Amino acid sequence: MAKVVKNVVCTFCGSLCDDLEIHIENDNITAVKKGCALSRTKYLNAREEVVPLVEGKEASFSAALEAAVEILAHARHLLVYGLSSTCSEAQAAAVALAETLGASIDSTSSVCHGPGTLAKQLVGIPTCTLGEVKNRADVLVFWGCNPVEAHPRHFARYSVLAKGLKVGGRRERKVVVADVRKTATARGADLFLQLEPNGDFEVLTALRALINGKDIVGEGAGGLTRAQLEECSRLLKEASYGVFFFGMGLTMSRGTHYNVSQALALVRDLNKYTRYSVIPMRGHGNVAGSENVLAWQTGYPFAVNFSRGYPRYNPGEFTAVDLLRRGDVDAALVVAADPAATFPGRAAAVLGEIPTVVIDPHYSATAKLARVYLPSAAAGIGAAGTVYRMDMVPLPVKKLLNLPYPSDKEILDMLREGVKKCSGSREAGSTTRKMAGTGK
Amino acid sequence: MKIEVVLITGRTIKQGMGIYTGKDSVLYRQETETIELNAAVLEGLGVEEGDRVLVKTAFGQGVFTCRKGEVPENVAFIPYGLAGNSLIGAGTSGSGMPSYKGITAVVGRYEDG
Repeated sequence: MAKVVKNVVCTFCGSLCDDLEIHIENDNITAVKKGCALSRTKYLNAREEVVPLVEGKEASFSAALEAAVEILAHARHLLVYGLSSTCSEAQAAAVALAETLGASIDSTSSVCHGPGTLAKQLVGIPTCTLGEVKNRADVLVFWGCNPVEAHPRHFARYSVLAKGLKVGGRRERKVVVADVRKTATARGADLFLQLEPNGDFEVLTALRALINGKDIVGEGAGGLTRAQLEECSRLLKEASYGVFFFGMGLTMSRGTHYNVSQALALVRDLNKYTRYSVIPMRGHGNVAGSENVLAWQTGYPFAVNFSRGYPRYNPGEFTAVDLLRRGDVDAALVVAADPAATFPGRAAAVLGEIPTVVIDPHYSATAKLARVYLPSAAAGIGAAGTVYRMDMVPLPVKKLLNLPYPSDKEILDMLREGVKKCSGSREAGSTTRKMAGTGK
Repeated sequence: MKIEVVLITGRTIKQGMGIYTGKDSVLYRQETETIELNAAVLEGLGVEEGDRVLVKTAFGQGVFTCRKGEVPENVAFIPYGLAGNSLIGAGTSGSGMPSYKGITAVVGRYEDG
């Protein structure tokens, strides 16, 4: 039977476009309307024929679950990682499991916008919703990000091309793009700042000086001339309502969180003259939710460790790449992420050396390295739940298809019940579980 | 001939689509095993678009297919993926974040090793 589901939230990227039309026939997605190339590919490939695996061999779901419980219950220091392509209900279940096992828990945030979150903790962040951007922003800065390729409908729905209540379309907005490469996004800018690689901190510092009425030493900074810097500072100050979007050009370049701190300080300076907000261009559909859930349940947004029975936070120590590189963990549980394809080779290889359990709707590169693979029903496709947009607006996602496996949350709950039976609960008196309203 | 560049990895739309066609798919592999270089660099190396080059960093090496890109002469761009990650170090300087952008790499013709 054919049906059309309207107003579907696409969970590919942090834009969470909520106007997709999904055409379904015989429980298969046959067409995606209004989506971008990324969402069409995601939804048209939603149903993958996968089976549970133990040691690379097909197993029943219950046998794979049992094997996973065995690994988790016997780990001395487990890493729970991923969480960005699932719903917040599953993220909360992952925190509960991590606490039960005294594990470290980290999300893909640590290798995308984690440094931005560190900067927020250092400087603070004035922010707004994408609705405000659409309706009010007349100066848009895209620093170290390429939304034309990574968030393809951002311009049309929320920013550059959107027609808002106070600001019309493209002609009423000024667009500044800062990048090392002349990207597709840069080609449409009113002002393109082509930076030297790793030159972000220097340029942001120079802009802060100029905006604060100070002079800069020399004839330029970070690959830009004095004239370009002066033109940029003038344009930024002329805004009635400016918004600074940033991407991994800032968080991944040398200086990481110092780059973002300087960007946030620049925005703080600009707020002396006019209104400015900041929105990180979050990549994965619900990576923003992972930080929210961890923060409200543990007090910290990522890189959390429960080995002492209470949450501790230390990026650089409890972040996934560091834990793997140093050999600090003896097992891993990866949920809705693919670190084998996204981590530096040396860290990714460790996932094949230690017993790894993967929960994922797709047979990912990490699943291929894993000791146990548990297929799941993807959030927003085979399971309903809540996801957070890049501006921290929560949106409900629907169940579109009947898939043969449980949701990530259900599997995580089953694992937690299993390890509690196996190893006895370590969570008596848990502060964080009481805070989350799930303590007994 | 070998040329030293600053290596940047990052998203492209084909790389994003390839995540869901599968990391073994032709789309994903072709895109993530590509390196974008300035036209002058391609000429300097004596290679053309579609030719293979060997890319080395302090952390690893890999073979990539050349594509002409709008990048400065001292910059090379590789879409995020398994191939590019073999060139990235796992150190994070205490931040949790590896240096996916802005590391030194040496590019040479594949035939020259």
